Amino acid sequence: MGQQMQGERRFVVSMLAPMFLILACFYLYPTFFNLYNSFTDLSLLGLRRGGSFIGPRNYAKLLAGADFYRVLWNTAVWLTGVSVVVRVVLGFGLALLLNSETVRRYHLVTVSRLILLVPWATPPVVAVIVFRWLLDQRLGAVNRALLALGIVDAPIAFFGDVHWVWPSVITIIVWNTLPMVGLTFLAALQSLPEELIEAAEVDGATAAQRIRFVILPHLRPTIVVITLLSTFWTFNNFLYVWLTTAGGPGSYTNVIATEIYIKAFIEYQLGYSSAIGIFAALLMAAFALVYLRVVARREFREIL
Amino acid sequence: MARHIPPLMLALVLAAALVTPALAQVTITFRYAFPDGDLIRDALVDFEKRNPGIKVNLQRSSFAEARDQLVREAAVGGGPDVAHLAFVWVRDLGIAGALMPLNDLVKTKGVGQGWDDFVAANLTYDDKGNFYGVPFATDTWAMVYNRQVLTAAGIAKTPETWEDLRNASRQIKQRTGKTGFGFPGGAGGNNSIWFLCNFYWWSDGGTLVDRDTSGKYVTGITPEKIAEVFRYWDSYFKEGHNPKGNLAVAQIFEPQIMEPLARGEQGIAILPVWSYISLVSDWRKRNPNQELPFYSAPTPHGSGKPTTHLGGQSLGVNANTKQPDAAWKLVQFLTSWDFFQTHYKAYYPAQKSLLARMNFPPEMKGFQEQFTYARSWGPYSTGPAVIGAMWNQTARSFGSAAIGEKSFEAAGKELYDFVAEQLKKQ
Amino acid sequence: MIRTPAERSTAAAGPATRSCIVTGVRPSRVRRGLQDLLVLAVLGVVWAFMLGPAAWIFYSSLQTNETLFSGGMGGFTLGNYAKIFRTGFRVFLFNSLVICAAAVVISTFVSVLAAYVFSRKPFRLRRLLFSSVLSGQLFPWIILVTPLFILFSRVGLLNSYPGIIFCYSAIALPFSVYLLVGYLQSIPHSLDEAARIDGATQYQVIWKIVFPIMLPGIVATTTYAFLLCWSEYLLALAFLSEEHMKTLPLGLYSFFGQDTADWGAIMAASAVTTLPTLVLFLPLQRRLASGLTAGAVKQ
Repeated sequence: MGQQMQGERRFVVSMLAPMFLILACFYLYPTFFNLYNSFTDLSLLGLRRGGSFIGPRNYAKLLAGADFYRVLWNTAVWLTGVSVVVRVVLGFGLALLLNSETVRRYHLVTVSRLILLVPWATPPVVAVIVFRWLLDQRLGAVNRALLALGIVDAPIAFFGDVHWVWPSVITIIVWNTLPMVGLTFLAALQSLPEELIEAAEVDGATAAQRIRFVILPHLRPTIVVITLLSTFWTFNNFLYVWLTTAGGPGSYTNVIATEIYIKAFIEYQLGYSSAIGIFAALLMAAFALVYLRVVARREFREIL
Repeated sequence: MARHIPPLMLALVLAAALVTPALAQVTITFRYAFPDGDLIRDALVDFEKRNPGIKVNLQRSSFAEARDQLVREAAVGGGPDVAHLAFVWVRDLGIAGALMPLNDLVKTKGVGQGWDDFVAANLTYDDKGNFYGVPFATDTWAMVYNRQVLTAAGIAKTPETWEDLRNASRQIKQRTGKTGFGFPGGAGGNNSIWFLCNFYWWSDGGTLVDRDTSGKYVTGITPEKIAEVFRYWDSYFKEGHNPKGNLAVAQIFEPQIMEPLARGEQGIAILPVWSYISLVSDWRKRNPNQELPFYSAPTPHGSGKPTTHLGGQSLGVNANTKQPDAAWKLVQFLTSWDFFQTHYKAYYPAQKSLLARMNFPPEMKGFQEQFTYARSWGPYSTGPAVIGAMWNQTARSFGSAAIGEKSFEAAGKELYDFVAEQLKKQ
Repeated sequence: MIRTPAERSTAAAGPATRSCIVTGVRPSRVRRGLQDLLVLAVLGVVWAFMLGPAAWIFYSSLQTNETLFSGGMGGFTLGNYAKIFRTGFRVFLFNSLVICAAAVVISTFVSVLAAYVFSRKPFRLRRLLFSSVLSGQLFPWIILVTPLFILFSRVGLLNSYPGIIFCYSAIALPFSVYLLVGYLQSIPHSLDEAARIDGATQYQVIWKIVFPIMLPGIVATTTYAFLLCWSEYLLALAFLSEEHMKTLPLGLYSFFGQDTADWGAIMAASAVTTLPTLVLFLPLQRRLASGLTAGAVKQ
C-alpha cells in the first residue's frame, strides 16, 4: 500500500513538474524584480546601476494621490466591469440567436460562426484604427449615417466627448472579443440535450421560463469560467485604452496599465511603476480568491 | 620549373586577393526607426561599394519603441552598432551608458563639415563635456494654409499674431463652415499640444525650463501664463472652429487631421516637415495637373519672434560596439552631402552649411524661414527634467481643463508644480 | 426515458407542429414568417457589425495611400502587399507560424498532463496548487517585460526561437490548464478506472484513453492559445530585435513613423496577420464548437 502511494505521488509530481517549472522560470524572477524595485527609486535609465532603497515611499505616494483612485475606478468599473458584463450578456444573446430555430432552418449557423471568427482574429491595433476612423467626428461613417437618418443634428465626437469616450472604447473591446464569448456559449448551448427543452415546452413553459430554468443553469459553468478569464484579461489590458485615447482626454480614461506605462516609460520611474503593478496584482488576487470561493465553488467543487 | 613560377605566382596573388577581403570583412548593424527603410537600404548598397570590407545589416524598428528598446539593450550590453535616435534621446542614452562618447572620434577622424557646423549639437552633451550623438536630420514645424479656403473666407493677410490666427480660424468657420485651425489636442507620449503651447510661450518671452546666470535650472514661466495659453488653445474647441473630436487625436499624421486637409475642408494647420511633404504629395496624386493650394508660413508670435523647436534625429554609436571604426565610417557617410543629395533627398541635413545648400520648393518657403527662427530644446533636454514627462503632463493638464474637470488656473498650477518637481532633482 | 405514444408522436413532430400541439393553436404562416424576418434582421445586423470593420480593412489594403481614407473607388492596387513582402513579411509570417505553433504544442502537452492530475487525483496540496496556477495572470504584462528581458539576455536567449517559444508557452499555460480541467470534469472517471482495472499504466490511460476523448477540448484550448500568441506584441518587441527573427505584429508596427504612417502597408499587414488564423480556423471550427461544449457540461 505504501509503495502504491509513493508511486502515486511520483506520478502526480511528474505530471505537474513541467508546468510549474515553466511558470516558475517565467513569473518568479519578474515578480521578485518588481517586488524589490517597488521599494526603490529605480529609473529606466539606471537599469545598470540599480536604484536606491526608499522603503514604502512609492506605495505611500500611490495611495495618497487622488488621481490613483480615479484610475482604479476607470479600470475596475468601466474597463473591466462594464465591458465584461456587456460581453457576457451580448454573448449569451448571440448564442441564443445562432442556436435559434430560424437560423438553424436556413442553415446559417456555420456561416455565422465563420463571420464571427474575423473580428476575433484581427489584431487589436488594427481594430482601434478602424473604429477611430469609423467613429470620427467629421468623416466617420457612423456620424454620417446618424446625420443622414436625422437621429442627431450635430456629429458626435465619440472620443473627444467625455460622455461617449468610454462607450466607444468598450465598443472596440467588444468587437474584438465578443466572438470568443459568443462562440463558447454557443457551443455549450448546442450541447444542451433537446429533450430538456422539449420537456419544458410540453410542460407549458414560456420562452423566458425556458431560458431561466433550463438554459441558464446548463450554461452556468461556462459563464462562470468565461467571466473569470475575461476579467483577468481586461483588468490588466493596456493596448485598447492606450491606442485609442492614451488615457485621455486629459487623464479621463487612464487605467492601471496605461498609468504603469506612463510612469515607467515616459517618466522613467520604474520603481514607482512596479509598485503600481504589485498593487494591481494584489487586487486581482483578492478578486480571484473571492470569486473562486463564492462564485466558482460549484464548478470546481471537487478541486476547491 | 622556371616556367611554372609565373602561373604559380599568379595563383598565389589571386588566392591572396580573394582571401584578404574575406579576412577583413566586418559586419555592423544599423537600426533605422522610420518606415521608409527602402531609402536607407539603397544608401547602404552605395556605402558598401565605397567601403569594401564593411557589410551593414539594416534593422528596422518603430520610432515609438526605439528608445526603450535601446535602454533595455544597454542594460545588458547589446543593441545595434549605429542607432537612429531622436535629438532629445541622445543625452539620456549617453548618461545611461548606452552610447559611446564621440569626442575622440570627432577630433581624430572628423565628421561632416566640422563639429561646429552641426545644429542642436548642445543636446548631445552630458554635464562633463562628453557628447554622444551626431545630429543627422533636422525638422521643425510651421503653419500651413490653404489659399483657396482663406480666400473664400475673405482673409487676405497671413496671420502674424496669435490673436490674428484665432480670428482667421473663427472667420473660416463662420464664412465657409469649414474647419479653421484644426490641431490635435489629445493626450499621449507624442502629443502635439506640447509643441503648440511651447511655441506660444517662447514667442511671448516665457519658457518652461530655463537656466539662470549661475547655471541653475529654473522655471521660466508663471502658472498664470500657462493657464492663459491653455485657455487660448481651448478656445478653438469651445468656439467650434477646431472640432471637438480633435481632443482625442494626439499626433499630427492621423487621418483625422490629414484627411480634411487633403480634401480642402480645413483652412489652417501646423505640420512638421515630413507630414507636410506627405500631404503635398498626397494632394498632388489626388488632383493631378492642378495648382497646389497650400503654402507654408512661420508660426505666429506674441511679444517676441515666431519660435519653434529645432527637432530632428541623431546617430549614435553603441557603447558596446565591437567595430567603432566601421561604425564611424557609416556615421560619416550618413552625414555627407552626397548621402542627402542622392538618397535622403526629402530630409534636411542637421548641418548649417548643408541646410543652406538645400533647395526649398515654393510651398516649403515658410519652413525655410522658420528654420531661421527655430531654437534648440536646450535646458529642457540638458536639465534634470525628463522631457517626455513634461511632454505628457502638458497634454494631461490641458485635457483635464478642456473637458472641464479642473479650472485652467488649477491646470496651469498642476503643470507648473510638475515641472518644478522635476527640476528639484538637480 | 419512458414515453407515452402521445408523447412519442409529439416528440417526433417538428418544432412548429410541436408547439401548436401543446398550445392547441396552429401558428399562422404569417406569424412564423414575421418571426423569421425579425430573427434574420437581427442576424443581419450582427453580421454587419462583425464583418463591416474587417471588410474595410481588406478593402483599404487594396487602395493607395491617397485614396485609402477618401473613400474613393479608384486606386486599386496590390502595391501594398508587394511592399510588405519586399520588406520582409514572408520571414515574419514564417516566424510567427513557427513560434506560435511550437509554443502551443508545448503548452498544450504540459497542460494536458497537469489538468489530468488536477482533475483526477485528489492530493493534499491540490487546492493550493490549482489556485496558484492563476497567479501568473495577476500582473499587467508591461511590468514583466523589463525583468524578463534582463533575465533572458543574461542566459543568451534573446533573438532566438527557444527563448520566445518558452515565453509564449508560459503565457498560454494558466488558462489552458483551467479550460482543460473544466473539460476533464465532464468526462466520467469510470472510463479510466475501467482501463486501470484492465492493467493499463497511468501514462497509457492518459494517452490512449483520455486524450482521444479530450481531443475536441484540446483543439479548443489550442486555438485560444494560438490566437493569444499570434497577436502578442510586447514580449516580441523586447526579445526580437533582429529582422530575421521578427513576428507579424512587430512588422505591422514598423509602418508607424514619427510624423507619418504608411496606412496602405498597415492595412495590408493587418490582412496578412488576420488571414492565416482564419485559414487555420476554418477546418477546426467544427471541432472548436464541440470542444468547448463538453468543457462546460456538468453532469
